[in-house]
Amino acid sequence: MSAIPVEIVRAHFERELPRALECARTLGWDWSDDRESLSVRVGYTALDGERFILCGTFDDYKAKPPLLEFEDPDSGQLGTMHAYPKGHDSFFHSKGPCICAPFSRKAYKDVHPKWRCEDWTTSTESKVRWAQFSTMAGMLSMIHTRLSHPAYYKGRMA
Amino acid sequence: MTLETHAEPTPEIRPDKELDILISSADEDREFDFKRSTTVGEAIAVAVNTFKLDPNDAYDLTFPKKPHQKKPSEPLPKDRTLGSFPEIKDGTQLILTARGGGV
Repeated sequence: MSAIPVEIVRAHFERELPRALECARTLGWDWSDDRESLSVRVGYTALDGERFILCGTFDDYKAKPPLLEFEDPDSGQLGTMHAYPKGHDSFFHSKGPCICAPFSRKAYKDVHPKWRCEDWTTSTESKVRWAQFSTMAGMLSMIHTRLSHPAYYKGRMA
Repeated sequence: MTLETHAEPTPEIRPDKELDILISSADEDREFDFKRSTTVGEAIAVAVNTFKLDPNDAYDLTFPKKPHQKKPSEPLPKDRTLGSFPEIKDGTQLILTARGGGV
């Protein structure tokens, strides 16, 4: 059952979409979205030319964070180790694998069952002010940074 | 007929001349006036403060990706001055990126 009415979810989604599209344009992401299913598909090119495809589902947004999952560029399968990047820290977490951040719904299930979904936009977990990554543009841009900075990006997870 | 050549005078580039830069964070764009002698690191500090972002996070400035570019733009070295980049002129857009955390 949905946590909030779909009209409200859609309003959040459509309000944040234009800025995320603007980021896609300036940062060079391949972009597609489906306003009916409240989903986006973002193609990133990493520092070494590797391609990563992020699928985001924004049902129950923003009562809950989106479900973010990488798609394997070879097999099209979601959530394989090969689909995920490897980073310098646990942001791209091998458990799941998942994006391990309060803005990633999968992290609550796979790594942090004690986190409260309701707190995701105000979390200060690990002394990070996650509020600044609580918009579609904010979270997708942070993922871009993790794929394009030589200190943070370490290739493919597997 | 005598041909005279007139070399265009090279415009004087003063380190204190201001550059009008557009900085884009993930959620907003703002214009900033910086001296050419301002370092990238100093510009980041001003932008982070203006955007009211978490001062404890790690930030970089990059150029937007150009259409022909195959890979993402890399962060600009923080110790270089804005004026030392030939690409940075009045009206140039720079992207402010944030590292966030791994938890």
